Amino acid sequence: GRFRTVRCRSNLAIFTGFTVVAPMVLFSIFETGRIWHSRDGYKLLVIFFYYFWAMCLSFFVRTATSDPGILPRNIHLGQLKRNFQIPQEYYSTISLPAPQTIRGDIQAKIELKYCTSCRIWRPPRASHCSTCEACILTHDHHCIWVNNCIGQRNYRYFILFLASAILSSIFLIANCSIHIYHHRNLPSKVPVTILLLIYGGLAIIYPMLLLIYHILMTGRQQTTREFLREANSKNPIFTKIHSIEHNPFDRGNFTANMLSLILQPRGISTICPQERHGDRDWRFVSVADFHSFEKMETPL
Amino acid sequence: SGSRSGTEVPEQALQERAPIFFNYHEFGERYYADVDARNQLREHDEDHGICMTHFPNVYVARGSPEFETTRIVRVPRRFEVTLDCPYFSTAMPGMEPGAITGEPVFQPFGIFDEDGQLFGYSSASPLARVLSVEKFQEIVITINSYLQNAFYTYSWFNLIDLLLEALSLGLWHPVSKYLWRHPLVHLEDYVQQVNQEQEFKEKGVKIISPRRSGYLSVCFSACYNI
Ligand SMILES: CCCCCCCCCCCCCCCC(=O)O
Ligand SMILES: [Zn+2]
Ligand SMILES: [Zn+2]
Repeated sequence: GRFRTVRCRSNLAIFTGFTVVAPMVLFSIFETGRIWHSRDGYKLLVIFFYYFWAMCLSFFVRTATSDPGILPRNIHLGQLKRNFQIPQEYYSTISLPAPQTIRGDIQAKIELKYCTSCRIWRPPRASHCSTCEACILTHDHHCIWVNNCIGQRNYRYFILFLASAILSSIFLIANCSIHIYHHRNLPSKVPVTILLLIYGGLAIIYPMLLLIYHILMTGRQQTTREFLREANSKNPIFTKIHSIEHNPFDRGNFTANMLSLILQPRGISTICPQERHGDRDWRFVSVADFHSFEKMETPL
Repeated sequence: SGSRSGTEVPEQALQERAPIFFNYHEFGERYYADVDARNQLREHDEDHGICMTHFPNVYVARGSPEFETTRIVRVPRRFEVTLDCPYFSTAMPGMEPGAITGEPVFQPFGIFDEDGQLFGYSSASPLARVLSVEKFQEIVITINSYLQNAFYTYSWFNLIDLLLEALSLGLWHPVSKYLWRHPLVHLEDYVQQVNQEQEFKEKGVKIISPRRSGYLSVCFSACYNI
């Protein structure tokens, strides 16, 4: 969306973009020409590197700039009275029957919450991101490295970004290793190649760990948010992934679970930034909440 | 009339009891004016709370004539049938298993909110005044089937779209707009088509575009104060 990308630009996303672009620039200057004109015949490896690198950049941009599944605001406004006061009933978490409730597991239930900021009954698996100031469909997490939420509408792009970052690193390592092998007697002649090899080795670690985690989590039918809440932890690394009991989304099969999250249909964006709207459009009206009003008045 | 917000139920008993579906949009209010005493706001006893079954029309500009005259009845999402896609309750609002029973049809007893809206003691919705149960069910069932098709994970649409997107390095995305329509756009067409029907135009009923409401609820706007 238009206004999101402008608002959400930050140094960290630019830094991530830089870490993707930099090795390609160095590789093009110092490697491509030499490899291409050598008679060693591994041009295919170079082509693969460029292909996956382009994929990595493209899906990085797509992950960072696309709508993660932002839900419209103020759809479920209760009343106009008393400055749009939220009714008492809307403050409690309610339980509704899930598919398994009917099949016998009466402890499987759907818990529904009203988002007091967005004024909507939030669907299951959606959650409010305080950075994006919106509820996000099938919210996975807010990723500071791409400066966007990862949710239903960009999860597949995120996974493709991680996978192509890994693949392009692999081809970077492969190309550089072969090149260094040819100069094994005088490695000081290829300093940039050595640098790129180390870079590839380092750049592969984080996306690889993340991808493995996402495969293991989705296989157990969990989003990052659900996993962290279940594990009661802020740091996912070195935390064991357990299945959640009575998870109404569980399909009882690792592959089916994984595919259902990774291939989840994106739907269409419900916020149209291109669409013109009046200043009285309720989606953009800030409904004064008593609590937020109070917060605003406290001196900083 | 009764209340569902039995928060005093012990935790143990709650765990053993399977949840029952109800329209979570409704809420109760005991401080209101009676219909025969328009301007006297007063506190009522527990048996005479009014049930909010219709809401401000947030789909039109604040203060516009349409905002003043029309209200919204919300059809909630339901989860027993499927969790793969939004699925809306096919029960006429007020006829859900957990609805507050009382008067079977909408009957105003209290006046509430800034523009003097009318409410009854039960969950019975004023939507039944402008739409037959059969027509209502036909509409919601059709909307549900559109959603089911659009959100089916292993549909050709979804799989080919992802494959082409990945192989073309994301270039498929801008091109695809011109080559095929998203299945959810067909749902928008269906809703527009229903809104054009004679019956709907005569009664001033309108289904709000599901895309506009974020697929959170099926919203029927109409003038219910009749
Ligand atoms: C030659 C290719 C180089 C690839 C460089 C890859 C950079 C990896 C950056 C990974 C960012 C992952 C974002 C994770 C977000 C999060 O979980 O918080
Ligand atoms: Zn929210
Ligand atoms: Zn966010």
